[in-house]
Amino acid sequence: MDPLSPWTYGRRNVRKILPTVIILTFVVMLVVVILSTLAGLRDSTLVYTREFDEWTLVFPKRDTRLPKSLIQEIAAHPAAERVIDSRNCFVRVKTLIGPMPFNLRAAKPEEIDYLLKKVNARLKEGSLPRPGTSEVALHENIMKANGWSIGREFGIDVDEEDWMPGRFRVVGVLDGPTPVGVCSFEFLNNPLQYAFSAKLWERVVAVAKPGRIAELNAFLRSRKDVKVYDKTRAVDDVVQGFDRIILVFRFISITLIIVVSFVVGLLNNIFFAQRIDEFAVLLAIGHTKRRLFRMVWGETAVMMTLSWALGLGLGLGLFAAFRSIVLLPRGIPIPFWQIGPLIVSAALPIVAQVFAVVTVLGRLRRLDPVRIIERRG
Amino acid sequence: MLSGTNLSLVYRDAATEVRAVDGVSLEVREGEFVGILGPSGSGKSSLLYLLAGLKTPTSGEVRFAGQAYAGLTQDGLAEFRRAHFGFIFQNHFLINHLTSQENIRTAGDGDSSGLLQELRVDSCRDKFPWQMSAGEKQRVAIARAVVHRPKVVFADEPTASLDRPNADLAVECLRRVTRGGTLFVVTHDESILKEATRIIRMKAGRVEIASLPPQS
Repeated sequence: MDPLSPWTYGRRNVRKILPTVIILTFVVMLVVVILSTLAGLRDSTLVYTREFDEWTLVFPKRDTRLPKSLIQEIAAHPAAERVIDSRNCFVRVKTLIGPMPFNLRAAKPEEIDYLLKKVNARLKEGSLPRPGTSEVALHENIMKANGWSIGREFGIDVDEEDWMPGRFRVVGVLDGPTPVGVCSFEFLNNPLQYAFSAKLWERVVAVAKPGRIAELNAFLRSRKDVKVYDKTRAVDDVVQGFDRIILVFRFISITLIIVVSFVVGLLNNIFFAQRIDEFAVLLAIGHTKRRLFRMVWGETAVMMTLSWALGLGLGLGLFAAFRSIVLLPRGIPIPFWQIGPLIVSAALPIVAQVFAVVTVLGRLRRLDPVRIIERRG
Repeated sequence: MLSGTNLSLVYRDAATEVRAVDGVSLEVREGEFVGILGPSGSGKSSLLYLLAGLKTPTSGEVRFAGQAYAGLTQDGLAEFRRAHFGFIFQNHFLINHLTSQENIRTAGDGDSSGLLQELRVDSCRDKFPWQMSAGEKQRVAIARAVVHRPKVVFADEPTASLDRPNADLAVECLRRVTRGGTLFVVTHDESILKEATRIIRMKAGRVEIASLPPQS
């Protein structure tokens, strides 16, 4: 093996390279954990918009009722599979950025079966809401996020801080890839059973034929007399909530990259100063500056790669533990593999490498071996 | 084979000018053992570094085997040095994290084990510099200087940091492994130049006397 190989240097100078490796490892670990959590939180909240891949909600714009002719027009559209008459009902979901409303789909029993089938959801526990009752069935993620179990009641009558008028009771837990919740249309639409019925705005759930949601949405958006709540709108609502946090974290990440690069560059300069005799003699006996530069580049690259791999391993391990112990039991389905945090973490060693090598390169270029040899002699 | 023509090396700053080497010319044939003597500051090391291509003369020209150093790039000159020259310094300048054998291999490929045996430091083969005595380190440095069979070896005060017995041993080793090649030795210690074919005495940057050694 080449005695001047980076591997030989790294293996024999563990104590010297350790401070840099430790600093970089910890920063990479920190970036991976924080960014994965933060970026994952956004993705985990976006999960709640998945139902809009299948359908879109249509509301009246000025009145509480939708014109019957409009509903017929939507139902007749070639991209529409079904139009379901619905009402507004929602629960508060606890998220890490605060409580957010989650809309339940108020529908008749056969329509509930149809909607659940459409999003591959099934009853996991309990029962579906009986027609004409205040019963609801919620997806397990919402149950976990709120720390609820079957039998739990919600609504302003239960908690005056709640947003949904009345009193509702959870009777079933749903599971499946798309978080949904269902309740009885008959109950919400009957003023004798639900006192706030008259105040609830009408809405229809316009279900698209497979693969034709965009076409249906384009049609709905072209109607100026209704409001449309589709995937784009739902995603926008989530993204807006996270944009500022992401911005702050990006700023922190960039600052971290700059500071760590500076520290690594400084440490590399100290190492270079400690090894000045070595470089001087190698130059004197005929190694070119280009070769020495390659040697420094290689040593730094090995150090950076090692630190990055270590930091990444530790970071992913920590994140996996945090995810399974803290987040998932609370109904926060953060994805484990995310490309964004990996890219940012990789930027750290790359920028640090360039910074470290550029600073050393300047010193190497000015190095006069004779001056060093005479000084030591 | 190796020639310097009208070589000058001048260090200048705002107020002063020091002529480390002042108009020195010499020509050395293959196989010569040249000793360079002189008091401190006389320019003997500077002359050696000019001849070795480690310093660029302020004026004058150095040629080896017909090749003028001035015609080479910095990296080209480094490669030229590596191909043709070997170096020994007052300080051993061995790399601390490399074993003796690995230190020798930094200069090039060759029979490093044979050399270590010939220099009587074969027991240091796998030792690091901090595990060896000063004499052993200097002998390993000698092995590094000659492992690639250079045509010329430049030694700058090779025994200055050694005691008498170690200095004698180092010189004996140096002569043995450079036999047949050209050798330049800068020293204060005339006794190590017994076998020199030519002695150059320097004073204030100039060659005062160029002669054969005293015993010849």
